[in-house]
Amino acid sequence: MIARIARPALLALPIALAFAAFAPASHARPHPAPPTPAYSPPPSEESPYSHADNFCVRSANRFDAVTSTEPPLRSQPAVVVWLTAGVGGGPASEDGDVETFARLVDRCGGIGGRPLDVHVVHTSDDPAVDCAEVVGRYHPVMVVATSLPPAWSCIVHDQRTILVTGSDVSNADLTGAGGRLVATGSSEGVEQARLLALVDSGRLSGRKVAIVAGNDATASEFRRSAVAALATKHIRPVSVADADAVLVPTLELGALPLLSSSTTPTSSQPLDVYSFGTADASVPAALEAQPASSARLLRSVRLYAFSPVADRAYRASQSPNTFSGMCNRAAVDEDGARGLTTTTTTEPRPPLSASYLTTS
Amino acid sequence: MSRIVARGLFSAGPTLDQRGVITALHRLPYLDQAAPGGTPKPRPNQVVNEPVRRIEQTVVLDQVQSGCPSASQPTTTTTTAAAAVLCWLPAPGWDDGGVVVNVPLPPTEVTVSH
Repeated sequence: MIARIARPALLALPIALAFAAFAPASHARPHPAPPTPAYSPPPSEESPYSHADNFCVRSANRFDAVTSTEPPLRSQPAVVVWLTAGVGGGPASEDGDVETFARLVDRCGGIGGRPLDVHVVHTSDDPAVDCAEVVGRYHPVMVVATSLPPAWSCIVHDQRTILVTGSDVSNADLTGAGGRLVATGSSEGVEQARLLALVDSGRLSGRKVAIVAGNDATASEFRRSAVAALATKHIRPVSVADADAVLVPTLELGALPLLSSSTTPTSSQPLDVYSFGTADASVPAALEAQPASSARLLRSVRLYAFSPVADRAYRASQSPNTFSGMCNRAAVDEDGARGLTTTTTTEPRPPLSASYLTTS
Repeated sequence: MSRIVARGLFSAGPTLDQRGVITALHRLPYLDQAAPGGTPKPRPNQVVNEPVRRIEQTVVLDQVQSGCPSASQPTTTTTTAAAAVLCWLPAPGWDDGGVVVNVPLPPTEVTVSH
């Protein structure tokens, strides 16, 4: 197995906005089905790389029909190119993590006895160059990239090569890819999922809920989705003036004072503002930049937004899963084997490093 | 990502061709994810490589809260104000792995022009 490094190459809360646009809908669209776990198990998987507490079970790392000593398998390595941002463009340790992965597979005897040839390639500013470098030079069985690279379409469509990415992708991108675009998640229905999850949680039950959005197509779609989600719990939107909870597609801090002053909540409770964009670190940063006004604002408004569980900040605030912990231990062991560990006085603990979590 | 690569290549079998790898990847059961322990799984397969027909998301509701951990903690987003460090944190009831939503994907509205 080889691991080499090649060097090639708040929103526009359409507030003002939208005060005109929150009008309660008199006719809700057909209710979407309530969240139900529709889980159809795929075929079971027998793989030495699938165990919860061991990255590779060496004794199981072989194909029943082929012995690992047969020349054809050993002479036909699985070539994988791992695209990374390189120095200064992403997690500094991603290259090292990939190399650790390659070493662990190599130490286990490859993939069922087949060598794994991993090449780390740093992306450039030119997707065409990256595409040519990745496919033309190495002819890999697959390309891997934590984030969907600009060269993805060339790799998948033009070069008809498998690309595995840690990004969520859309149906539009998946369509026509012939299964060669492989992602760890889908970006379809993110907003609807957040709306349904919030409504289903019961947080809006008994509340007076207004929808504040603009008038463009995106805002109109948000409004339709919000009305449909609310309808699953028989909640009808009200006007902003009567609301004690507001749903907005994205958060615009500058518009919040106006929004807050436009409502006349019947209780002393703050106004709940739910943004269906992604929780952005710039929001608390902007609030902290103006502590006095922010303190006043936060007494009258509670701000909410959503994040996927894959969000780095969310993940780093939680205990890692079994596999992440296993990878961390493997990395610690690797460093120890290479003499990189200095004095360790306590049991190695998962570093909760974002980079490890990313590559796990 | 690394585990997906290894599992996919092994599940493709001894004859390593593209179609076999695509099929193997498509069928990978959802063993784990790059998320905290206990996080619910939004779908049966680890990856998607065909257009999806359902909304399959695990989401977390966050709230802007004060009194966040210090700058050395990865959850801290800003540290400039000493008095009140603000950040997004999971709202009460949403801090145990998130909520799975799995419902049919609404059909795309088709505009027919004449």
